[in-house]
Amino acid sequence: MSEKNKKAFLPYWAGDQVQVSPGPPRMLAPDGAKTLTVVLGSGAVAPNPHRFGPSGAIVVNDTPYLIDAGEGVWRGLTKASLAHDGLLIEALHPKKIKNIFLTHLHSDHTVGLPALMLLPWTAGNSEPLTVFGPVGTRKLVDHLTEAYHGDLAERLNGPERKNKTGWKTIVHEIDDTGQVYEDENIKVEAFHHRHGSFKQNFLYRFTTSDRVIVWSGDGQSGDAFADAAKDADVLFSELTTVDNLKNAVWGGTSFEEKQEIIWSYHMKPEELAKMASEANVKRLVLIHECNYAEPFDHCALLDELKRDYAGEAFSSRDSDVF
Amino acid sequence: MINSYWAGAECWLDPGPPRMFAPPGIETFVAVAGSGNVPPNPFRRGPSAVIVVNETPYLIDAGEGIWRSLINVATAHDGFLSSALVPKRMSRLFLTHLHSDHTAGLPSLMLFPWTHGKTDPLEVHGPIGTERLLAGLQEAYHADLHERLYGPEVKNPTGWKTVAHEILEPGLVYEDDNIKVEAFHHQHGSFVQNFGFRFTTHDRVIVWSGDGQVSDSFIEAARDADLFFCELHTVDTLPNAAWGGDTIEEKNRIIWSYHMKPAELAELASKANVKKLVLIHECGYIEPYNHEGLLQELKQFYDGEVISSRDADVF
Repeated sequence: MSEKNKKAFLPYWAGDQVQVSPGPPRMLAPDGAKTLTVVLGSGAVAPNPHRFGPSGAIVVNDTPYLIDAGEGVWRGLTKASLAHDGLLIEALHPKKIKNIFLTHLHSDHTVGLPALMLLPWTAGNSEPLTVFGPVGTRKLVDHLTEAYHGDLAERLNGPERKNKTGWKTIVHEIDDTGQVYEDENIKVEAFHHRHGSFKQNFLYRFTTSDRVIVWSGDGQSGDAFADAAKDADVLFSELTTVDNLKNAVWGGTSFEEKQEIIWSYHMKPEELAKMASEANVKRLVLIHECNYAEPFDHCALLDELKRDYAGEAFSSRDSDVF
Repeated sequence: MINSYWAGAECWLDPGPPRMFAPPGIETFVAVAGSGNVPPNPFRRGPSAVIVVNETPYLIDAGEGIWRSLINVATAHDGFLSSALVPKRMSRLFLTHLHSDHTAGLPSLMLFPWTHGKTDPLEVHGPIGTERLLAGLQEAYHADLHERLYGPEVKNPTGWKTVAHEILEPGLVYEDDNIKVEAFHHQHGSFVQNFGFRFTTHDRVIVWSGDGQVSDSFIEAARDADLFFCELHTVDTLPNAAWGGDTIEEKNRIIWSYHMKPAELAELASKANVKKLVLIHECGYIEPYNHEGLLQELKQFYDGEVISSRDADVF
């Protein structure tokens, strides 16, 4: 390697995180739990090869309910299927991928949608994908279908003759917060919390026969967040560092700019600690961490949180099951 | 239970760490960013690659996970290609064809380098239909664009844009100081256009196949290539394929209208006198899985130098 390349490598634009794997997935669900939550992608925008883009799935009765579709969700599903001796192998079969809930329309949470709309179909899924999300979800999904016309036309009318229905989508735009879905396994409620200039950025509260799981969108704390998280068995929440904010590769050039911009989008450790304590959350799981510690320590942001939080908290990894 | 995984046993075996095959003194490098295909193999990302000349990357296809695939290449081999793979340089892409496994990563490639400071548009060369694909994606991601352009972040106003260069017919499709790119068509299912590309630089000739079948024009296009990257499909274990119909007769009819057999590739590479053959987009279907099984099948017919690629391999 030339000296020139080496210099470019060390202050790498994506941060030190790209060089550090957080380790193998863990089975952290309580014994006997009938509702499991798997983190399909624990990453964010930053191109971390050890963390897929933001995505998760709640599994009840071998039925998956997906949340967000970050980069790599199709491969994230397989990784999770094969983890823990195949615990979720039946539940995450392509034929069972029917419902997805989008928290908001930032691309790091939706770039996996083309894969999720089209590749399960090529693998034999004949059911449409139902997408719940903010106003704008219909535009997203309809134009993706239009964009991938070349693929659809070839696979439907070429020698392959894929089934005629599995590429289709059904969209439910969420006009207002409140209950957005219910079936015999699960009830889903949406709450809004602020994230940049989005009018809608949802966190979802999933209630099943044995657990309450809350999954946040990116975004700030607030009354609605605290209401949504009340007495949750597990709260999955994003978090951004205060200690190492100066290392952020976005949000302006000066420290003042970074503070102004980044805190209009994200949550601080002390805010999350206070909110989770007041909401009496039983277990807190960090997703979509913006850690920025250099040299990189994948536990640094968890440790930062723990200064203010005495409850049980985890920094998630891809394929962790809670 | 994992043995019965619907996508095949290949999905639970890691083919191993990336390798550096570039000869000393060479100035044109090829990195396989994603060596996989449709099956969601977590150890092989969706099909994509990058040719690097003079610190300038020329991307081929945008399979699932390309944003992370490129960082995986950039961090491999002690950062050998890291200065070429900075976001502001990720601005030129060649699409072989419009099957979604080769394009599912496009939203990432359109939007994430921009969120990381790229200001130039993404220039995409591909079959007729590429413009429709790009225009549809821009409409689809309108809400993201709008929030990032007009919200507190205020990203730069240009780096999200795309320019479609539709390839109307085979021949020279691109040329600059570093590289000349020629496209040739070969049959793949019912596509009217499915391109392979021949890249010529000052020190190497690299040929990258689309998915698809052999033909006389394909042999001509691959002639005397220093590196020939080609898809391959098994004959021996075809009955294990999870697609292409229920019976072996159906599979034979359907799959061979899309893909290439080992004996055919061996004949093609021999006739074209390629110096090094590299397998990509392998469909081996071997149970229990052996990641070199398809390579061995090819070697029954081929005695030239040949390698089964892995993600982040550099040639």
